[in-house]
Amino acid sequence: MVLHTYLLLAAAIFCLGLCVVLIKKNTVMVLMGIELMLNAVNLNFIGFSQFDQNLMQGQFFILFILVIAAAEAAVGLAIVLNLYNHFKTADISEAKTLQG
Amino acid sequence: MNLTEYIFYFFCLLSLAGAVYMLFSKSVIYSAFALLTTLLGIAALFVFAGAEFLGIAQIMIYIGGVLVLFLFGIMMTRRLNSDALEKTGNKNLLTGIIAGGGLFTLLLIIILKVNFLSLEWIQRGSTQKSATGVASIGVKLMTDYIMPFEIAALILLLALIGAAVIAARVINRQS
Amino acid sequence: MGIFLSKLATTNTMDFQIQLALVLLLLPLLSFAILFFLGKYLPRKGDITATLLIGIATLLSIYLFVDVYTGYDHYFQAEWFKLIKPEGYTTFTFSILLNKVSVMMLVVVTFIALMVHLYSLEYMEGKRNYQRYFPYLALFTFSMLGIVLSDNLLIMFVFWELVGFSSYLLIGFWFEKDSASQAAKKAFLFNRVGDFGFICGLLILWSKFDTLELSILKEQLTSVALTDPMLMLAGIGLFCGTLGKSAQFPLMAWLPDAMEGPTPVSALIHAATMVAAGVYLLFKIFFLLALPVLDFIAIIGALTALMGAIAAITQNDIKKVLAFSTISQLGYMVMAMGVGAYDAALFHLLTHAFFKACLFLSAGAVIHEMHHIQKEMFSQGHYFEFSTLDMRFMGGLRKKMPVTFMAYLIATLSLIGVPLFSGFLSKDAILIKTMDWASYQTNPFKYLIPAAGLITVFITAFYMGRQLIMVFFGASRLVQKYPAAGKAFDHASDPGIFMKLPLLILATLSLFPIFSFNPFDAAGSWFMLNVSAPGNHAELLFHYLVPFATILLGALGLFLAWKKYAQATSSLAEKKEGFWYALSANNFYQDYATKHYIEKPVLWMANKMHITDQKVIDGVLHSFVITQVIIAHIAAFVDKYVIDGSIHLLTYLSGKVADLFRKWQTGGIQSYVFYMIAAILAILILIIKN
Repeated sequence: MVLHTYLLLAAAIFCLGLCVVLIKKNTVMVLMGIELMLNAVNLNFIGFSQFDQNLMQGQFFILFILVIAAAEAAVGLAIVLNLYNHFKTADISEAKTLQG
Repeated sequence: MNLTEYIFYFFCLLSLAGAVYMLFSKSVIYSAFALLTTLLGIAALFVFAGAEFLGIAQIMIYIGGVLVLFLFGIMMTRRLNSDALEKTGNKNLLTGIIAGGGLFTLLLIIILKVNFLSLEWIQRGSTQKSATGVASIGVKLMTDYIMPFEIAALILLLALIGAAVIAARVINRQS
Repeated sequence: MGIFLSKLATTNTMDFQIQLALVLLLLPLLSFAILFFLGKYLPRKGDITATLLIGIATLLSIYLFVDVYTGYDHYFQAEWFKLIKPEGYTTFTFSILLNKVSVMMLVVVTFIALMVHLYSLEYMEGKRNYQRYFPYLALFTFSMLGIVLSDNLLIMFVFWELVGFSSYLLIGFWFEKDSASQAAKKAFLFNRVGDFGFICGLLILWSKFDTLELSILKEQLTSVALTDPMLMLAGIGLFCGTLGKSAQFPLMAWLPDAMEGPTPVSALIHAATMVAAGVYLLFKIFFLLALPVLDFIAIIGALTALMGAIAAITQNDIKKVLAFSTISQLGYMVMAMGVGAYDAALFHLLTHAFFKACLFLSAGAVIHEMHHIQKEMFSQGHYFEFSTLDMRFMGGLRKKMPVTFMAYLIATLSLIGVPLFSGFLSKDAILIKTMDWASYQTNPFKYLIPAAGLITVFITAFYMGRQLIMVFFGASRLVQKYPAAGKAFDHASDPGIFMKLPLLILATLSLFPIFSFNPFDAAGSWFMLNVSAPGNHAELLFHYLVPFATILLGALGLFLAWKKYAQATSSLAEKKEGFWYALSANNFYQDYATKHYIEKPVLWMANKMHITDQKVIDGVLHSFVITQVIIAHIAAFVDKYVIDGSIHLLTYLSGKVADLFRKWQTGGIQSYVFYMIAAILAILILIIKN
C-alpha cells in the first residue's frame, strides 16, 4: 500500500527488535529480538517490492532471508542449549568468561 | 478510508503492539506469543503488498517452525524451580533506548526526507498491475534465481547437520 | 794500568809518580773489595792481607815522599765530562797533585793506618763482626788518600763525604749498642751540617769561576780582589766544612761521643787523619781566604782550643779526655791557619798525628788490660760492675805495664809541649807565629788569641798530668774500692807484640830528633824549611819569650796536677759542685743546647707538619670520597626515582589506559552489539551530514 507506512513500520519494528536484543537477559529473548529485526527487514523489502512486479526481486530476497533466518534460528538455539548446559543458566550476562 | 485501509492499519498496529509487548514483558512465554502476533501481522502485511505466497510461507516457516523451536528452547533452558521470569536491567535499558531511539530517529529523518517518488522505477512500478502468483515465483525460482536456491538448500543442509551435531552433544552431556 | 789511563783525555801526560800515586790510592780500595766480599772465606778473616796491602801502600808513600822532597812536584789533570752551556762548554776535570805537603799527608795517613792495622790484629781479636773491621778501615784509608791526592775541590768533596761515611761505619761498629749507633749518627749529622756550608762555598766558586780546579782558581784569583763579598762567603762556606770535620766550636759535640768506636778507630780517625782533613782543606784553599775570613778562622780556632781544654779537665773517661784534647789541638791548628802560619799548622798536624795516635793506642792498651782484669774478676766470681774506661778505677798501672807507661809518658810530654819532644817544636812554632801576627795587628784585642793559646797550654798540662797520675801512678783505685780484685789486678801486664810495636814506633816518632836537630827551635826543622809560609818573620824577642812562657806554664800545670791528684791518692777528691766544674763536665752544655734548641723545635715543627699533612691530605681524600659518596647517593636517588620513576610512570599510564579499554571488553554480547550499533549510527550520521 503506501510505501512510507511500510518503511516507517519496518524502522519501528527494527528499532524495537534492537532494543529487545540489547535489553533482555534471557538468551532466547535475544534470539527472538533478532527474528524481529529480520522480519522488519523483510517488511522493508516487501514495501519496495510492490513497485517491482516484473522481476519480483524483493520477494525472492525475502524468501531467502526467510530460509536463512530459519536456519540461523535452529543453530542459534542449539548454541543456546550448549550455553545453558555450560553455565547452568540462560542468562546471557553470565556468559562473560571472555571478559578482560 | 475504506475497509482495506482500516484492516491494513489494524495489522500494522498489531505488529507494532506485539513488538512493544515483547520489549516490556517480563515473561519469556508471553514474549514468545507476542512474537507470534507480530509475525502474523507481518504476514498479513505481506499479503497486502501483493506477496501472498510469502505471507503464507512466513506463517508456515516462522510461526510453525521457528516459533515452535523457540518455545522448545525456552522450555529446555529454564530453571525447574523458577518460571523463566526475567527482569529488565536498568543499565541495559539506557543502552537500548540510546541505540534504538537513535537509530529510529535517524531512520525517521531519512524516510521523511527522502522523496521516493523521484526514483524512476518506483514511478513505473506504481502504475503496473501486480502479476504475482505462485506459478511465476516457481518459474523464476528455477530459472533466474536458481543459484541462490541451490545455495539456500546447501545452507539448510548445513544448518541441519550443525544443529544436529550441537544438539547431539548437548544430549550426550545431559545423559 | 798505564794503558787504561792513557786512554783518558789528558792535558798533560801522566808520569810515573802519578801512576804510583794512583796505585797507592787504589790499594786500600782493593783491600776493601777483597775483604768485604771474600773476607769470610779467608783465614783469620783476611786481616793479614789487609795489613800487607796497607804496608805496601806505606812503602809506596814513603817512596813518593822521598821523590818529591828530593825532586819536584808532580801534577796531572784530566777531563772528566763536559756540560753544554749556552755559550761553549763547562768542563769538569779531576786532577792529582803531589807536592811536599800532600806527600807528607800521604805518609801520615798510610803510616798511621799501618800502625792501627798492626795494633788491631791483637786488640780486636775475638771481638764480634771482626770480618767487617778491616774492610771498613781500608775504605776509610782509601777515602782519606783521595782527599789528600785530589787537587779538584769537587773530587775532594766526594772523598770528603766518603770519609764521613766510613767514619760513620767505624764509629758505629758495635751498632748493637744503642749509644754507639747514636754516636755514629751524631757524627755523620754534624759533619753533614758542615758540609752544607762546604757545598755553598763550592757553588759560589763554581758560579764565579766556572771551575773547581784549584790550580785554575789560583791563576784566576789574580784578577779578583780577595775581599770580594762572594769570595769571602765562599771562604766561610768552605771553612764550615772544616768546622764539621775538624770539630771546631759550633760543631764539636760529636767528637767526644765518637769515642764509642773501637780505640784503634779513634786513633786512626780522630787523632791523626780524618780530623786533620779539615786543616788540610784550609791549607789547600788558603789562597782564596781574605783577611777578615782569616781573622774569623783564628778566633774560632782559639776559642775551640780553650773550650776543648777546659772541658777535658773534668772528664773521667780516659778516651773522652783524649777526644777533648784532640779538639783543643785542632783548635791550635785552625788558629795557626787563621793567623797565616800554615806551615806551623801543618807541622803541628804532623806531630799531633804521631803523639795523639800513640796516646790513643796506649789508652787502648790500658783499656784492654782493664778488660782482662774485669774478665778475671768475673770468672773468679767477683761481680763488681765498673766501666773499663773509667779512670777512677785505674791507677798503679805504671809498674804493671811499663812499656805502655813509657809510650804514654813520651806522648803526653810531647802533647804538653815539653822541650826535647816533637810537640814542643810544633806548638811553639804556632804560638810564636801567632804572637808575631798579633803584634803586627792594629787592634790590641788581637792579643787575646795568643793569650788563649798560652792559657790552653797551661790547661793542657793540667789535664794530661791528671790523666797520667790517675791512670798510672799511685795505688790501684779498683783494688782500694774492691779489694777482691787484687788478685786479678796482679795479673795485669803489658799487651802483646802487635800492640806494643806500634806504641813504641809512634812514641819514638814523638821525640824531637825526627824533626829537627835543634830541640828548641822549629825554624830549623826540615819541615819548616820546606814548607814555609810568607809573612813577617818573628821578632827575636818572641823566639825566646814564647818558649819560656810555654815551659813555665806547662810546668805549672803539671805541678798543680801532681799536687791535686798525686797527694790525694786515697780519695778522688774533686769538687763536684761549682759553676766551672759543671761547665766543663757537660762540655759547655753543647749537647743540652743542641737537644733543646735545635732538636726539639725541629721535631715539634715536623710533628705539626705531619699532623697538617695528615689533615690536609686525608682531608682532601676524605672530601673527595665524601663527594663521591654524595654523587653516588644522588645518582641512586635519580636512578630510583627519576629513571625508574619514568618507567613506572609509563607502565602505570599504560596500565591505566589498558584498564580504561578493558572496561569495554565486558564479554557480554549485548554490549558488543551496542557498540556496533553506536558505530553504525555515527557513520550514518556522518554520511548524512555530508
